[in-house]
Amino acid sequence: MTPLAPYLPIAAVLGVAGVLAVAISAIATFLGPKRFDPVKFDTFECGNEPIGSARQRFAVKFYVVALLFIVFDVEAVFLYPWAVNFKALGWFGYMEMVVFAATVVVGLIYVWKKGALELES
Amino acid sequence: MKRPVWMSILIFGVIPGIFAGIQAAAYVLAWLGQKLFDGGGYLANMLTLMLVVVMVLATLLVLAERKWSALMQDRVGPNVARLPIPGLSKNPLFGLPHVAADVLKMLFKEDLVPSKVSRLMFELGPVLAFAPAFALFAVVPAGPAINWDGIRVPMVVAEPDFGILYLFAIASLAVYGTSLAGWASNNKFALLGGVRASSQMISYEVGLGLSLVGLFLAFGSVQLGALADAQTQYLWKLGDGAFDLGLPAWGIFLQPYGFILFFAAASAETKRAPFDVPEGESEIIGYFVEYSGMKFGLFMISEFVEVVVLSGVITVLFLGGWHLPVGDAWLTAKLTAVHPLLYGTVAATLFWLKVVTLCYVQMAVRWTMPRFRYDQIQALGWKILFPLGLVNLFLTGALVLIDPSLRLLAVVGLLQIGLLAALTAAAGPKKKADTALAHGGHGHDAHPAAPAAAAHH
Repeated sequence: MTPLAPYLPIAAVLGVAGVLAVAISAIATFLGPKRFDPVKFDTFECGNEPIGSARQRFAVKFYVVALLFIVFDVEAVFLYPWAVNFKALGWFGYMEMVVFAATVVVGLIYVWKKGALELES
Repeated sequence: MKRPVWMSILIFGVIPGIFAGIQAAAYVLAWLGQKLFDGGGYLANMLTLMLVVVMVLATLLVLAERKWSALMQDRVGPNVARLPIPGLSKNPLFGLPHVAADVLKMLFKEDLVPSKVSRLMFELGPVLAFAPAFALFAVVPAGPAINWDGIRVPMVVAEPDFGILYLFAIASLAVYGTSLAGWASNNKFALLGGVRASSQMISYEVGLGLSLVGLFLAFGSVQLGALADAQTQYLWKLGDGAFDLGLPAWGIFLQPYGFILFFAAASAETKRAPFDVPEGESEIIGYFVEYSGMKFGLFMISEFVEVVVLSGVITVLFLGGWHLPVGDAWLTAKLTAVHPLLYGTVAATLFWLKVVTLCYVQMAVRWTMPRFRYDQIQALGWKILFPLGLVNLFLTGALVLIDPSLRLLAVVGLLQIGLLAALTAAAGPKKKADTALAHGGHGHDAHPAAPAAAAHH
């Protein structure tokens, strides 16, 4: 077995998943009837005529959430290799991770105090 | 027949029987595949586990959800569709014909692509929502790897060493499907649903990742098969006989808080109630408002596939996978002595029964909890789940280092369960009027059984 062999089933699964998803939506496109009607093909806005476009600016809060996610999720990713080797690293590794997490917690407290976690303001 | 009688036949006979049959066939197929060429067993498992079991289970969950919501709302639920077969044309068959009817309707419905959408992104949305959800189950082991005639027959589609990291990685790809669908629709409601969904999903991914690290600390692995096997050890056991009684090192005893955090975060990832603001059907409809036919169906089925996968992951991580809580070694030895295929079938059936039970729990949660407000969801994710996850992680780490036999961790875990039970009891009805009301509510719950039974007769 080559070192890459365990990953072959995963490649197969991802391929099948992609093909299946594309095939299902393609079948739906070809099977259904096609009857064009300008009103039917208009954007749905509760039955009223759409006002303006949806391509507008929206709240910057969502952008802040995305930034916070990157910071804290990278921290979570660092935890996995540490967790697997946890017993070998012992108390030394534990304290190292406490120090690392403490810096992240300081960051969390900072964004909390700054109000970046409040969506209603 | 009386309702309790056929319900017990269904629950204790028919459902385990169906799973046992499927699993026996799956083991035989995997054995044949493995005999043909190395790795053929994995491909056979992909066919049976992912394309048959998970997809069929997800499709049936659509019906189960409709029936269960009907029960909760004192209705009969779907019972109109009939099979045009003589003798069955008057039998609603628990609403099962509705599954076929739904699929046919979605396939033959007009595939409506509104004129103002961004076409390519619009088409990519459902594909990117469904494909990751479908691919998730690959690393979840449904049963033990058995040794049959010198061939190792696995009951999992892939066994990479990074195990659970694959789950996290692929699950986060689903964000693209929802946010693309929301943005490409060029619809204000869809856009709102899309940004809500994406920010909710990425917020809870942090808590999702943290909640499981405690478990990895205790067992020292991220591979799902190894984690399931690590849970067969006993924390305390009575006697050294063939049949052991004791407390197994199941994740739920070691990490009750981790379990609750993971369950909450994963429910938010699947966008099901109480976290269903991205698709709040009574206010913004959701990111899929412009989709029709099977493209909407892809969004819907991927939600139910995620429910099945989540149940499978919880079973493997917290409920011992395919293992019995007590006497597992005894059963393994007895059944393997008869034939390894028998052991594999029984163990995998046990796994699927746990999965179905957890699917039921998720249905029950959906129809019990009211929807959270959007800012409440963000606050819960960042201000409660994330800090609690960190506390749980370092508490677990210290306890594992002090006592590597995990007994201290289990004592703290059992105390946590006790504390949770006490808190739940304290939050329950206190006054006499409340108690009466609760009893009335209970009697009312049982009531919808009557029309359903009547419909059956």
